[in-house]
Amino acid sequence: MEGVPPFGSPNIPTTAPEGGEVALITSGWRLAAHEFFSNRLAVVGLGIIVFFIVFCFLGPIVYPTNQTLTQPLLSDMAPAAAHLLGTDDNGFDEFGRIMVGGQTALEIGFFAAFMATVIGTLYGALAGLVGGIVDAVLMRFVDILLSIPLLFIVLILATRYHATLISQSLIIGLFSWQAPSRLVRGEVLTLRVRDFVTAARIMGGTRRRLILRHLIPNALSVVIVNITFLIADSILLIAYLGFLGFGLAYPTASWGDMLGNAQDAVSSGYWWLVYPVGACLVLVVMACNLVGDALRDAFDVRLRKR
Amino acid sequence: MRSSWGSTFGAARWGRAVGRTGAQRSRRVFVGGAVAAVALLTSVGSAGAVTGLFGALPSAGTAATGGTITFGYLTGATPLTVFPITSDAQASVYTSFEFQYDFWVPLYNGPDGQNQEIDYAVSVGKKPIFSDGNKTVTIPLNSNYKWSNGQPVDANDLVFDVDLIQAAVKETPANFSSFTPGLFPQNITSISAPSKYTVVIHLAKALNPDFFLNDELESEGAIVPLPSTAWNIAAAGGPHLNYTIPANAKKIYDYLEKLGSSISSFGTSPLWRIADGPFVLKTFNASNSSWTSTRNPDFGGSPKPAYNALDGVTYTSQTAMINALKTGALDISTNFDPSTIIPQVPSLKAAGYSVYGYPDLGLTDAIFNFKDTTDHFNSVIAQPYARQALAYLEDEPAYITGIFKGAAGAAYGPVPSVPPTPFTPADSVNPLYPYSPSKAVALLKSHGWNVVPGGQTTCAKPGTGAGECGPGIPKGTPFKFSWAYLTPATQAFESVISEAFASEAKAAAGINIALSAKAFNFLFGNYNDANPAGAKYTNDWGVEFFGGFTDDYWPTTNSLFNTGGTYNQGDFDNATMNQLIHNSVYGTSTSAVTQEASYVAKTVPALFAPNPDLVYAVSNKIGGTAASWFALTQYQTFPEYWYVKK
Amino acid sequence: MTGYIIRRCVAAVIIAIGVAAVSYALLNFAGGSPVYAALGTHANPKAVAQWNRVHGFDKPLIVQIGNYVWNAVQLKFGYSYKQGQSVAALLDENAGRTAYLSGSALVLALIIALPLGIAQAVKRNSVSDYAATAITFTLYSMPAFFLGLILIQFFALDLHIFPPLVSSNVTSVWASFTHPAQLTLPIVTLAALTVAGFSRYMRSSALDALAQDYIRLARAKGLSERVVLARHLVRNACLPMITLVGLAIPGLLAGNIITETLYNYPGLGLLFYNALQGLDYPVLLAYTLIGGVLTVTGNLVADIAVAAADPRIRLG
Repeated sequence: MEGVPPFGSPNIPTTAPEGGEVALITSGWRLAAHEFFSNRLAVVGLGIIVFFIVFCFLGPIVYPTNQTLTQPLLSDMAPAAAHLLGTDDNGFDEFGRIMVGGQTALEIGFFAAFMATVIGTLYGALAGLVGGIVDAVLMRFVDILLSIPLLFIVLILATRYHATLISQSLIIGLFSWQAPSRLVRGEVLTLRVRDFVTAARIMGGTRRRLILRHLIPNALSVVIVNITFLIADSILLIAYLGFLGFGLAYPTASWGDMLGNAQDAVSSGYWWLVYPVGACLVLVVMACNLVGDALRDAFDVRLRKR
Repeated sequence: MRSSWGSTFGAARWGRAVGRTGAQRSRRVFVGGAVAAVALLTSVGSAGAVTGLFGALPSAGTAATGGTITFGYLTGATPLTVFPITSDAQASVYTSFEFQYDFWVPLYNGPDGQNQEIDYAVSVGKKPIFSDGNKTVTIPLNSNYKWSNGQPVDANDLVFDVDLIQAAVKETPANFSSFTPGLFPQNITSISAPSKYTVVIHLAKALNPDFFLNDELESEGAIVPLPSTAWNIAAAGGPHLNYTIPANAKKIYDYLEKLGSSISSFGTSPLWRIADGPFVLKTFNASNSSWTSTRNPDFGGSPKPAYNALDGVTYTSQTAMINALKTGALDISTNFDPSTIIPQVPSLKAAGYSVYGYPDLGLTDAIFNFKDTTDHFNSVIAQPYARQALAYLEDEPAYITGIFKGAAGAAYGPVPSVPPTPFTPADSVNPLYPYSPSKAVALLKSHGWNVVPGGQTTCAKPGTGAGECGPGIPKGTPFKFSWAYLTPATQAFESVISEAFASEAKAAAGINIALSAKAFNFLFGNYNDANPAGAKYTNDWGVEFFGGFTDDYWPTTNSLFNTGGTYNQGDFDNATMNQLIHNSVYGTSTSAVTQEASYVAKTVPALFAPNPDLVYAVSNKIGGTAASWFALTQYQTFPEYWYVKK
Repeated sequence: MTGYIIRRCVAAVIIAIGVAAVSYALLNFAGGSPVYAALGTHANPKAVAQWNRVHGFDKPLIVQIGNYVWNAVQLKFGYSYKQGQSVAALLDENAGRTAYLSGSALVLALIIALPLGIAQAVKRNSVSDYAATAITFTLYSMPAFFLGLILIQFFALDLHIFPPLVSSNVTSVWASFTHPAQLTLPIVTLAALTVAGFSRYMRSSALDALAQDYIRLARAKGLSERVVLARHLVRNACLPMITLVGLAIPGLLAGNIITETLYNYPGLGLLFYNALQGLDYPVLLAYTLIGGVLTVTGNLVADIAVAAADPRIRLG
């Protein structure tokens, strides 16, 4: 479970390979792919993700709905032919809202994960390559940030900043890069003493070239695994923010906010406002976790085999 | 408002319905009497016929003797002080007032059923007499109230309270939540007790008698006779001091305030057991603010409670409380947000509850920030036509039907259309700017704006002449602003109204509104041009919407819309408005406040929104007078009128 | 070994101080001085300046941070002006109940996760392994409040098996203990958050153990499969769990915010939630610090425990 930390404790040690014996075998990626696709749950997960991307981004073309002009008089209507999943408290079509909210959820997830990965990769690579006292200081800072639960940080910042798609992605991204940075540093530490790196250095490769051409590609596997978990965690985190009242504001909505704001609907009988969107959110988060889990196993195989 | 601060508005209803934040206040007590109220109920036949009432009041039934009634609170809206001189910071939780009044009877209290006026039957004071050009006020007291140590509640107890308030305000005005500069208690030159049940107050400057009575003497919670022979100490077991000496009053106040703000003292200090109200506090749980009380055998009011105990029970959220109601665990709920509770009405009825709602006297408004220079918003919003155009874009009837499901009253000015007051102006009932996007667009076009529905409207004709945008608005200025509303975790309707309004403004008139949610304390404290701490945020917000304010019975907007007013959060500044407010406070006309309210409705210093009902669920096992249920909707509890049914 | 422990402890102290400093800086950035909470929003500028001077809020940020850290070391966490109590008193009042809730949830999660993970490893890639994986991943992927709301609706409001929330007279740890029905749903909700992670971890560490030589040796010796599993697999596979338990505690603390709010249970999580609504910065700060210190401690204990328990780990 490494890599699938319980919510709020970001630093369960990802068991990501702090190294492992290495011998270059070109078919490593192919091995990984083979291992991945032999995991049936992972394939299902991948299918779910693809389905929801299509559903959220292409769905509105097939099923166009009004998602901008609120209609108080049409609010909270039960599902009917005109509104397959009824309407929400603004009078928006809930089925269409789920598509729109899914776009936002996926966008925040991808964007935050991307930011965290870029920052974490550069930071970790720097620490690992420079080493020494710089490394120690940089990594202690990571330890410090890792020791403050992300939910706290985001909540505290949310009291002051307007929650928008961009700002939430930024805040989440800016405070979740520590795990990838550790992973990358670990990879770098083990890689830098390996033969091919030494060889490249002897052959006169610059440090920049070393990082770009050799170290980062080799660290990629742990990073890719981490991205899937980051996406899942970001989507969940948005849901918690929504529940605690600091979610996105109209006209944007994400699954998390929709679910958080509809908590009363569980007992009020407005089931269409809570269960469909809840199911979508759980499915996508679960799919990301399944894929990430399988990817890690797959890359493990690659590492073991080479 | 009232009071508060002087005046009128005192308190803010911040946060209103959920009340979690609000300072709400207290307001009045019930007056009129139980008999009249019951007669009203039966003659109408059914409470449903009452204008503005949502649902049906609990049925009266027959009172049994004994039993316990439980009353719900929400975490974060639990009493912060037991000492009835409530500070600014503590007043942000309105339940402090309800809580105190269960144990101590205010000088004046209301409402009288649905009528928003003082009910002398639940007040220590009788109607005051004004003389000497309204500078001398004689307050006769009822002689039937007694402290639980056997002493009568008399004139000295009222003098004691006022002396302590004066000492408190001298330290810092923030010690007294109902303070407005220059008014009570600073306006008092002397207070004396010429006889056992008469108090005479001399004022430095004459006030409008309606204002002084309704907004100062009755102001929420402001004035409550206190046991002057028992509480006149400055240390536990210390000597009894002469409180008419200011230095002693200060010592006494300091001691009582500190003790009263310490939650752990609520349930333990013997001082808080000396009460003249229908109940006496017994225990207070410091970890979750639940409390228990027992019937006060010495209560001098009428009727005497027939049940034994009134208990406050705390829940973490409206949802948690609703779940508790469904299992029958709670007798009387807190006031709910209509959009939260209305979908639950069928299941609550099935679980044995009556659900009813009625708007409180107050205003719900989105506040304009007249200092926000972002995109020249300060110049734009300074133009009356711009504010009127925004008012035209607000579809109140649709909000009431769709968002509040009928549990709200229309309000187009500072005095809502319901509940009734003697001072409600006609244009609060019939809007000057009813929903009409086409009129909004026409108004903007006629002032030089290039209106692009669905896009971005910009100023096309800058200048100060007719048909031009107005001073300080350069060509190309976009009509756009940011709008912060109360987080839906606290209360939902602000967010839904904000969304509906922003959507309409963009689609119909090309006005772009950027929305965001904030916690109440953040909005009220920081998005506040009247607060020095708010200065650094002044360009962060164009409009804020946290709920609104409660009104006192003389519903002036003093402190809200007068220049420099304590709650003039957006810094509205208008000479005519100042004069009209001055008339309400210092004049003599009995219609001053009506003229003022009418002018407010015309100039739109804030965007007035429907006045939501306070919706309560009451177990069918509990009975009470109709007036006591209406009082609940004004943030006022009269537990002596409740009973467990046979 | 001793040298290793000392080095780790020193690092932990540095990190804990860093947590205090970063939290303070973060909150200062978001909120500034608590003066208006203390004096009311209408305090005059002179009184505000005076108050800030007396309480040290006029000093440069770095000095304020230093003061805060120094006070925190002495367990002085300041004063909650919103609640009229010292933060230490508030923490003291609430910590026990949160510890009880979190501890029970942790134990429950372990009781479920350990056998489940091992069973999954033994029957790897069987239908039951997939089913268990799907279920635990679903729980893991479900926002805690959503799970809690569904549990409340189903078990409390529909079936009336458990009460929907903890009654307000359950205010002590002892009362929590003696009212198991009231605490069942909160504990289950919080445990569900953790089970997926634990069982997944257990599964992979059992898989690792199964591949080790000593298991093969045990089997080769002809020991029954039961004995192999009980004696060798369980013991060795559980070792990594030490790490996880230490590290899960802070996560539970975050989960408490949701669970306690949902079930009306007065603890640290609820305290934090209310402080957030009221912008009660001293309380927010203290809770963040506690979360940080527990995380650091969890890390430290886990590292040392693993080092002590597993001779294969070389201390460096």
